[in-house]
Amino acid sequence: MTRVLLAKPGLDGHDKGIKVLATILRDAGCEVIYTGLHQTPQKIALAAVQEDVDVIGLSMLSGAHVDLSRDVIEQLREAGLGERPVIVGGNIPLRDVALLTGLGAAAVFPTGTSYEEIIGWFAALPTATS
Amino acid sequence: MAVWTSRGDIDTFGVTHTESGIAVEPLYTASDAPAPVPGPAAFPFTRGFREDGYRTRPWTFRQYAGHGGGSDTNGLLKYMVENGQSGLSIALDLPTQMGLDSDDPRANYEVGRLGVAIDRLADMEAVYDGIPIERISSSFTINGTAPVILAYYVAMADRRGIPRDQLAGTVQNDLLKEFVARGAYLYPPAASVRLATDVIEFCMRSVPKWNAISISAAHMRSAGATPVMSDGFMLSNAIAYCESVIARGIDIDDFAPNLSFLTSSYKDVFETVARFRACRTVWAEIARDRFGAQKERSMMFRVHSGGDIDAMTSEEPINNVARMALNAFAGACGGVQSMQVPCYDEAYEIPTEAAILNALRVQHIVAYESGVRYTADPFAGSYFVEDLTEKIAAQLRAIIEEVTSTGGSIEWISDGRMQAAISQEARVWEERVADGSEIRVGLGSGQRGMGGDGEITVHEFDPGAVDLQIKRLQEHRATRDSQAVTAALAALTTAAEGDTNVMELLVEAAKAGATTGEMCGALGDVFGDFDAPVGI
Repeated sequence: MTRVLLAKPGLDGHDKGIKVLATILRDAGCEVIYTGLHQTPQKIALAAVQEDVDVIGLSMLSGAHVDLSRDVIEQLREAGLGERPVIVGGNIPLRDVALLTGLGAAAVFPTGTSYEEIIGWFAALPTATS
Repeated sequence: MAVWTSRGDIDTFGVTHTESGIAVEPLYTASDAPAPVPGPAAFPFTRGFREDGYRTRPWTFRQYAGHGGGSDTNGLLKYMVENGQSGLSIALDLPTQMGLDSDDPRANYEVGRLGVAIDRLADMEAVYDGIPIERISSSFTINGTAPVILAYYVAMADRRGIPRDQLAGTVQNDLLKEFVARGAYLYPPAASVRLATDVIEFCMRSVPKWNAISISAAHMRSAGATPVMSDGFMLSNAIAYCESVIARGIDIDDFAPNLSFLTSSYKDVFETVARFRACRTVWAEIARDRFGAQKERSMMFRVHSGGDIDAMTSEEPINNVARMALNAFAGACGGVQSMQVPCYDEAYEIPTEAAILNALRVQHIVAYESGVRYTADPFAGSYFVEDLTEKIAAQLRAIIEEVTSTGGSIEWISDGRMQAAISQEARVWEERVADGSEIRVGLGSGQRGMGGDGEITVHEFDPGAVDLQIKRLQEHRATRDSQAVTAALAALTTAAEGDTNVMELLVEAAKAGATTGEMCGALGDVFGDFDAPVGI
């Protein structure tokens, strides 16, 4: 069963999308841990270590997604979880998608992405069948 | 809760049910018409507050704007006023909303991004440089930090020699909905309501034309509630605030005139009109029958319509202008006092200057070209709209009854019941999107530009403004009278520990040069912090 940490880095408090995604992934058979709002990159990496998750999902709608994702990915590397995929969702212009994957994001799901597509991404993970 | 959720025949939404899930008949006739409603300008104010509607004066054109530092926002505000904006609405950045100074590590990457950074009184004065605050009203989307932002504004007026009773404007100051949606709260619920109540009491006594709170539905709608559900929770929250003020021994008629509301126009034009009419009706009943108000002004549901920002699509963004026009038309037919429409580029970023001007022009077109101002409450007497108004009013009363009879809003929010009800609706909506019954024209086209390939021109964040903001803040800290600041903050702490209203002490601290982070920190030392229940 895939273990997923869903996290809200930074000060943005818009969490409709991440909460709905949490229930949809849960219904699709994942084990979901949601951090709640206002998490620092350090706290997110710590939670990922403590919960030993397979995937880390970040949601940001404030426009600070590039900087915050970079910090989270760095913190995860320092914590020894550099190989665990990080996925990023939220209000993300197309021009930033390549930037985020360049920083090491495994997938980017801007607003408007169907949940089918996200579930499909999870279904293709090696942990999905283990 | 089945009475007011939208579960039902989801495959036929858009034809048989309104946006909030109310069943609609293909034909309404005289036999469907409820008894004629009184007014306008008579209880229960279903038809509005003025017999001449918008003839003498249209609603206030109030587009939301601000970014960077004070001078960046000052230029934007002046540009908007020059172009016919009649009220200001200031966007504050997330650190200011969360009570953090611009050089706080937790503020990283967010300074000046979604709004203007206000670290101290001089920043507020920079925003308003050359703007006559005795003649134009300002609305601040500010909640956890509302007491501090209002203190800056009042301190600025004091220093300009403008009597406080000439100040008109609004602080959102609705903490209860922040625990449910958006999360811009700083302290636990009881302390938050106490501070919100301090603001209400201060305005009532010192700044009488100021709306001390804008009790809001719109953020709960954005979090997933149906429009009617969000209005029901908004009115339930209003009852909680009234109870908190009345518990101080204050009469409803002394503070209710300082209350205002925020709920938005959404895509469903008829439901929007009926919602505004129903909210006016039900609030008048609450003020008069539950709280014993006698002044008409206490019974008036004075409302700002925010726009349906969530309806803005990133694909084919020029289509959004049509949505904006319908939004504005619906709000005007609904009789709102103040209005903002979303901007066509808001699915991407905070709006560009061009997009803000376009939104303002959409309001102008509706006000001056559509005929919407011919007559008060133009949909009155429509068999359909009157029936829908009655049905929505009945649903609002049912929601309020359910919440208030099972602990009230503060309990519902503290234990996550309100959050859970809204999250369930968010999931229902996503399922409608997934199965195709929630139609958004242009989505799926892949076309993100205004024509041709690529994306539209969007607002560019300016990191230079951040560096300047931080540099000036640090210079200020180094050169101010630090003893005066320490004394002012100590007085603030003492007031917060007891039950003295903190507002005058915040005004004094602002004048002494205390920063947003210091004032919110002093209050936080007394009140502690809080994590709201997620309520999935």
